[in-house]
This record gives sequence, C-alpha cells and structure tokens, in this order.
Amino acid sequence: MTHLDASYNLARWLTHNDHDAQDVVQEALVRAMRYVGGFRGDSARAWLLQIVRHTCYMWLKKNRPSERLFLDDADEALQDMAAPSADEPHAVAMRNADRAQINRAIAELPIAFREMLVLRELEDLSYSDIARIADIPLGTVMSRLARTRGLMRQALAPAPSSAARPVLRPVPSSIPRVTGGGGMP
Amino acid sequence: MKPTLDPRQLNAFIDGELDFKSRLDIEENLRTDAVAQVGVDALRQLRTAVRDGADCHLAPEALRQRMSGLAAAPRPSVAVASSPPMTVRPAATALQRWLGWRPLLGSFGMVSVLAAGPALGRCGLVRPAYRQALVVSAAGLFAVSG
Repeated sequence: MTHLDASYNLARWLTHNDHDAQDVVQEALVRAMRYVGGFRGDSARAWLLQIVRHTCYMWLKKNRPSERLFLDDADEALQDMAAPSADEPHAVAMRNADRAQINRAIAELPIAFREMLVLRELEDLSYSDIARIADIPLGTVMSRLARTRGLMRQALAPAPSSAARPVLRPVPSSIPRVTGGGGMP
Repeated sequence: MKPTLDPRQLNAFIDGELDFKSRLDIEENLRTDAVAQVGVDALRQLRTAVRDGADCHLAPEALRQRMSGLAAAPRPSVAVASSPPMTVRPAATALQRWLGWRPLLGSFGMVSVLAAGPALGRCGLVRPAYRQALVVSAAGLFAVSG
C-alpha cells in the first residue's frame, strides 16, 4: 500500500472521477499483486504506476471510446508554440493563478499531456521513469513536457483586458446605402 | 519573439535532466540571451505554480480499506493447499481404517481355524499334513493382520 496515493492520484487525473479512479486502482493493484513475482526493476513506484496507467487506458478505451487517447508528437506543433517574451504578463498571471484555475487548466489538457504533467510535477518522477511508465522514448517525454507547459502557459494567460481590446463604436442607424456604382462620394 | 533555444532543452534544463555538458552550454547561452532567460524564468514560475496549486489527490479511506482487505486475503494457491478437496481421503485416516478391520478379521479367522481344525481331525476328514498347513496359513494371516 506504499504507492496507493500516487496510484490513485494518477488514476483520478486520468479519469476525472473519484469512483472510476477507485475501480481502476483496485483492478491495477490486483494485477500488480498477481505479477509482483516477475518484477525485476529498481523502481517499484514506476512499475506500479505503469500498470495503473495501462489499466486506466484500457478502462477509458472501453468506457469512453470518444476520448482521444493518443496523439502525434510532431515537432512542428512545438516550434509553432510561442516562447514567453519579456513584455507579456504571463509571469504575473501564473503567480496570481488560483488553485481552481490551475486544476481546470490541467483537466482540460489532452490526456497524453495531462499524464506528463501529473507524473513530472505532482509525482516528481524522472524523465526516464516517465518514459518507462508511458512506454515512449525519452525524446518524446521531452517534447510532450515542453508542449504541455506551453499549453498550460496559454491556459493560464490572462484574458485580454478591456483597455487592450479594440474599441467598437456603435453603428449609426442611418447609414447611407450604397445603391450602385461603387464609388465613394 | 522567437525562441532562441530548443524548448525541450529549456524544459530539461529547469528539470535538472540535462547532462553536465549540455547544462553548461545552456547556462552559457542564458548569460547572453535575454529571451531565453525570460523563457527559463517563465517555465520555473509555471512549474512552481503547478506544484503549489494543483490538487494532489489522496486515496480515499474506502479504497485503502478495500486494498488492505485484498492484500490480507490468502492467495488462491495457498487456500487450496490449506483446505484439500473433500474427495481426497487423508493417508493417515485410510491407514487407520485399514488397520481397524484387518486385525478383527484375522482374529476371527484364527479362532475359526483353531475351533474347526480339531473337530475335523476327530472326524477323520482332514489328514495331519493338511491340518498342519491349515494352522500355518491361519498363523500367517494373523501375523499379517497384526
């Protein structure tokens, strides 16, 4: 039961639901107990989270087939992502972001990015452990983490203030209709 | 502004996942590249905000109890070994039953031979050699059953 909290936290973030997360964790731990004799690694936590993640994906595939579980890791999307600049208020916004904003931003991430953030920031796992858990190469972990943080930065960016918005003037009711000719008077 | 360093490298840099040489290269670049420095600062602030602000869900007590019950339950193989099927008779019980009826039967046979032998001899129906063989056979039966 040492890694039960980590297992539940991952399942909870992936399923968005307490009851479903409990079912997934129970199924995953039953599997882990069955195969614990075959464990030959050095990180039991990563091994267990790998089983929890796999069980989560199987559960989602069966119960929520509409959810997009996999995505392409094209580098173009990473390059298109704007880098933070000195004059943007992102830094201030991130300092002021409350818990609800941050949780909502994480919850709205695609699942492949969400799991990266949970494993790295909340479970404090190394890149190699994340690669093992998600069954992806180390370079893909780096790409996904960079994209994840870029998406989080965009999600936590402040809404454009009223001063920055273009001013829309009321349209006068009596507009001279252009009847033809197209020329300005 | 366009990124001047690979975002993957910057993320790995703030996560402490770069090797020594790559880390030195990044630090050298950050001294002269203000844009990259801003990017690193923003990433660090985002990381701090997420770590401090995101919910870290703890396992509910109900799940804890369910998992403790599962962990404490005996494994199926152990359960089979500790409670054998009812159709298999334990070896000790079978031996006791075998030893229980055999001495009784042997004793009955011996008494019958001893009682019938002299009577048959008196009647002249059994020759002395046969009588002797009958006694030896009964004695052997008694020895086996005892």
